[in-house]
Amino acid sequence: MNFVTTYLPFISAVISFIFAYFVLQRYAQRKGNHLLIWGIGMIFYGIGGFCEGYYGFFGWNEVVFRLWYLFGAILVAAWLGQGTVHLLAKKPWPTITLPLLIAGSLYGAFKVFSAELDPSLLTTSLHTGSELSGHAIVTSGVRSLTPLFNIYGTLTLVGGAAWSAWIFFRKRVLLHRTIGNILIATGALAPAFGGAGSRFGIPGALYIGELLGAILMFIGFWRATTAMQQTVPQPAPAD
Amino acid sequence: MSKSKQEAKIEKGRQYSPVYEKLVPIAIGVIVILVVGMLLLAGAIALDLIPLG
Repeated sequence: MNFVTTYLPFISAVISFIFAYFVLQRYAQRKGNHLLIWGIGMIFYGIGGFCEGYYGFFGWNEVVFRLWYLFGAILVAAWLGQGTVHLLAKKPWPTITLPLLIAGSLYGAFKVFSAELDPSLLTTSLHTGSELSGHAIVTSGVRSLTPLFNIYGTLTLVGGAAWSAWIFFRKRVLLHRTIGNILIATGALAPAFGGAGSRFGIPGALYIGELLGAILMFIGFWRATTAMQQTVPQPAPAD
Repeated sequence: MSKSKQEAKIEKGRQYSPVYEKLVPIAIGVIVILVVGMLLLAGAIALDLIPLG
């Protein structure tokens, strides 16, 4: 039992749940479906981290594994990205994509909870079995869902944040939102690279990536929603 | 001059501070490169082009 496989994911979970609280609080004050969907996504993020920490402390549990794979591996990126679609995309895209995501999520839940599992497969030539991974899933057609949801989530969340940052930069306005979106995009990439590192057998890569991601996205959200004082003197208008 | 034309003239000359003028486009460029790299990596893993344990 080491710090990375036990306490780190629990810290990620706590940060994620706190982040979700602030996002949903903002939704309650200002409305906006993007805030509600982001809040749901961050709850999923927290569930994933909690399950990882549970496994690190208490070992294998079939329900915990299924919850981790569904929420942490499959759904979280896509739901966070869907929030960005609702913020940035023009009609009818949010109306079209949300029902598809909900249907896909229900299908993913069915596949994950009906899959045959073998926890002995968590230990491979590259993995010690101290961290959760999708190797425990025996049934075909389950792990192949993950890249579909994650690619959609990466393109929409990271792409949307980068696009927003570019638009604000091009107009040279709202610097706090430029910086905030850059932090959100970077934070969203961190778990993706952590997952890739985990695939290559780098110990702790996924959990460290997830913690970094939660922190950066939280800071980015705070930065984007908190105006900065403009320090650059503006040129005087010509008479 | 109307107020909106005055505001447009101000906006035209608007700049971030020099540090952000340099860092922001670099950061956005790096993010785009990382996204493309991540998608290529995901594709390579999905197509079994990269052997994994």
